[in-house]
Amino acid sequence: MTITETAGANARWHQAVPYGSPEEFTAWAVPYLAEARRNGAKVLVVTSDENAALIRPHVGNGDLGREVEFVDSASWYSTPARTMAAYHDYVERQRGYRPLKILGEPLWDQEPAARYTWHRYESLINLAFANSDVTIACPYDTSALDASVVEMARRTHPFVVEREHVVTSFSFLEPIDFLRVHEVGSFPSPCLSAEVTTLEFEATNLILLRQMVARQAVDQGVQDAQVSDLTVAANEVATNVLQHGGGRGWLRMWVENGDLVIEIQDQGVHPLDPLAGHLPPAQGDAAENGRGLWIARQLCDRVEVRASPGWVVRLYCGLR
Amino acid sequence: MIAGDVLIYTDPNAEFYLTGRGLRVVGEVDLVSRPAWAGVLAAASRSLGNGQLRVDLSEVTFLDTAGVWELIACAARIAPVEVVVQLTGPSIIRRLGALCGSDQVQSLIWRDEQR
Repeated sequence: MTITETAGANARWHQAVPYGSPEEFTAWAVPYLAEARRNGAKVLVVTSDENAALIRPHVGNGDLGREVEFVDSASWYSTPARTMAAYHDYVERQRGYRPLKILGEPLWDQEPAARYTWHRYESLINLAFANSDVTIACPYDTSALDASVVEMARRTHPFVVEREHVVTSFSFLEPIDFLRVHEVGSFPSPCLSAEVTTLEFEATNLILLRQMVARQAVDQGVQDAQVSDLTVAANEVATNVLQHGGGRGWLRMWVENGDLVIEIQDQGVHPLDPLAGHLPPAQGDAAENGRGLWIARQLCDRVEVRASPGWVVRLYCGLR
Repeated sequence: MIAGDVLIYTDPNAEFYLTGRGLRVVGEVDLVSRPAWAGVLAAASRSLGNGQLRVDLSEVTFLDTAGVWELIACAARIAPVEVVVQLTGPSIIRRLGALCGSDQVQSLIWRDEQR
C-alpha cells in the first residue's frame, strides 16, 4: 500500500464533524445514518450515552434500527492500539458483505501525552482502512473541547463537514507526515531524582531482561496479568533491537509522572520506520518487521518511539 | 525427564523433547531457541504424517510471539496442532495466541491441562 492511495476511490471516507450543540449533532447525525440505510450499510455508532440518546428516537426499531449497533465510547476507546485492533476485527468480520458506516466519537479528556496518542490514532486510521468499504465520521463537540483538539482533527481527517457539506481539509497531513511533524527530536532524559535501573543486553541474557522488567513491575505494585504483559512487550521490543539493531541493546527503567517507563535502545544502525507496529499485521505475513511492536502496543498503555538515530522505544504502564 | 522422551535440543534456558505424540518443551523459548523451535516443529509435524501434533507447553514459563507465530504457521500449513498449556501456568501464552490471530486457525487447538 502506498501513501497516495489513501486519497483514492473512497476518498471521503474519513471525516471530522465539528458540532456546537446537541441540535447541530442531531441535524448532522440523523441524515448520515439514514443515508446508510439507503446504501444497505451496516452501522456502528460509538459515542457518549448523551449523544446516543439524541440519535435513538430517530433510528427507531424499524429497518434502520436493526442495522445500527450502539457502543459506549468509554468501553470502545480503551487505548489507541487496542481500539485500532477492535476496529480492524470489526471491519474484517463485515468484509465482503456490504459497506460499513461508522460514527466514532473518541473521548478527549486525557493528559496531553495520552491525548496526542488519540490524535495519532485518528491519523493512522487513514491507512488502516484505506482499501475497505468503510466510512468513518468523527464528531467533535466544539462547545466542550479545547480549540486545539478540533485543530488537530483537521490535520488527521482528509475531510471535514462544514455547514452540512463535506469539504477537503486543507490542514490534513498524510499519516507519515503527521508522525514526522509531531514526533521529532529525542525523548527528554529521566528526571534527575528518578531511580534508573539499567541493563546492557544481548540474545543470551534476554531472560535477565525479562526478570528485571517483571521484578520492577512487581515492586511498583503492577498487577500480575499486567506484569506478564509488560514482560512480553519489553521482550518483543528487545528482540527487535537484537535482530535489526546490531545484536546489542540497552534497557533503562524508572518511574515518571505516575508511569513505569521501560526504555529500550539499540546501537543506532537500523533506520526508523515511523509506521512500525501501528497497523495490524497482514495475516500470514510471518516476516513482518513491525509485528513485535504491534504486539507491544497492544499490551502497554502507551508506546512511543524516537529516532536517535536508531531506535529508542519507551513503554509506559500507568501505576494509578 | 519422562521415560521415552528424547532430548533433541537444549540451551541454558530451554529443552525440547520428542515424545510419542509430538513435542514437550521446558523453560523459556525466545530469540536464542527460535531457529531450533521452527525447525523442530516442522520436523516433528512431518514425522507424524497426517496426524495431530501435540505440543506440550505446560512446563514453559515464557514463549515469545515469534514462537507463537511458528505454532500457528505450523498448524495452518503442515499439520493440525494441539497445544497443551497449564491452567495454573502463565496465561500470557494463550493471550498471545489470540493477539497473533490463532483463533482464526481452526487446526490449532488449545487445551488447558492440570499437571
